[in-house]
Amino acid sequence: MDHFNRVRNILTEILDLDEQEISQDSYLVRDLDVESIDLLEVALALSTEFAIEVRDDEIFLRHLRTLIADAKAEGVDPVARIVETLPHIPEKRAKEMVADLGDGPVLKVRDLVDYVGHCCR
Amino acid sequence: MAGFHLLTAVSFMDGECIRGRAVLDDPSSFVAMECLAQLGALHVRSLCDFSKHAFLLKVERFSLTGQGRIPGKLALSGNLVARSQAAFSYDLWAQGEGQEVCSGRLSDPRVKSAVQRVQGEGKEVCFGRFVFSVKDYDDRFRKAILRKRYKEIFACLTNGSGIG
Repeated sequence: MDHFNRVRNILTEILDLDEQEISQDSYLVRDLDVESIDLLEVALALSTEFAIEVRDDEIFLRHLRTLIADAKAEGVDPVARIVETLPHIPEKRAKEMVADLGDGPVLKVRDLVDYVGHCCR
Repeated sequence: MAGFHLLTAVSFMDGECIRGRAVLDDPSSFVAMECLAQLGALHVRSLCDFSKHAFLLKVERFSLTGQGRIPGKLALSGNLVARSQAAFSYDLWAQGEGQEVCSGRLSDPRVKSAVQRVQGEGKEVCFGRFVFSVKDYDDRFRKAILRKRYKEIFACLTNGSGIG
């Protein structure tokens, strides 16, 4: 089973959702109504499923806004800073995040999939 | 130790497991569950070097065996089964003191085998999967007081006297 399906299985169980409700492009907070307490369980489940050490701050992009603000203040390209600090985020996705930030939390299911993929390399 | 502390000693601990004891005046399933929660939370605090406030997030499952009778003296065990930065999942169980069949590191195959056997045979008094989380100390949970307090409790429990 590929990483996405394994992540989706975890999310369906914790969030009590149907598979069809979760795609790679689902926003965790905006679309799936995930709360911070759910994220704790998701982190544990991913840790067990993939036998990886999950760093909550990184996988859930907890410092993304600060990261971007600091980069701008320092005259650094925010996209470059995201890719440098969060190596599981591809450049294309980092650009999307920067553009999308004004509409709310940007964390998507694909970001979790990218994180476990990066850790499992 | 004053306050609502049920543990009387921590007999063994490493990064993945903790063993302890409790003596209960009024044994009940709820108190046994609280003993297990206190044991797990202590391990979490220790893993975080007492620099975070630890709290019970969820009891995923909890079962009583042994005909539901809770002995007054309990041998408590906990194994860390998964963790992230902020969440910690444990298998925690209690047995009657003197009836425990396993102690030591879970990574020791003999211990692991004994744990599996105990759980398979239902020899534990109670068994549960507990999830804890940690957060930074704040105005409500003040670091200046709590960090020192929990370190003292931990020292008392691990020095074998249980006296603070």
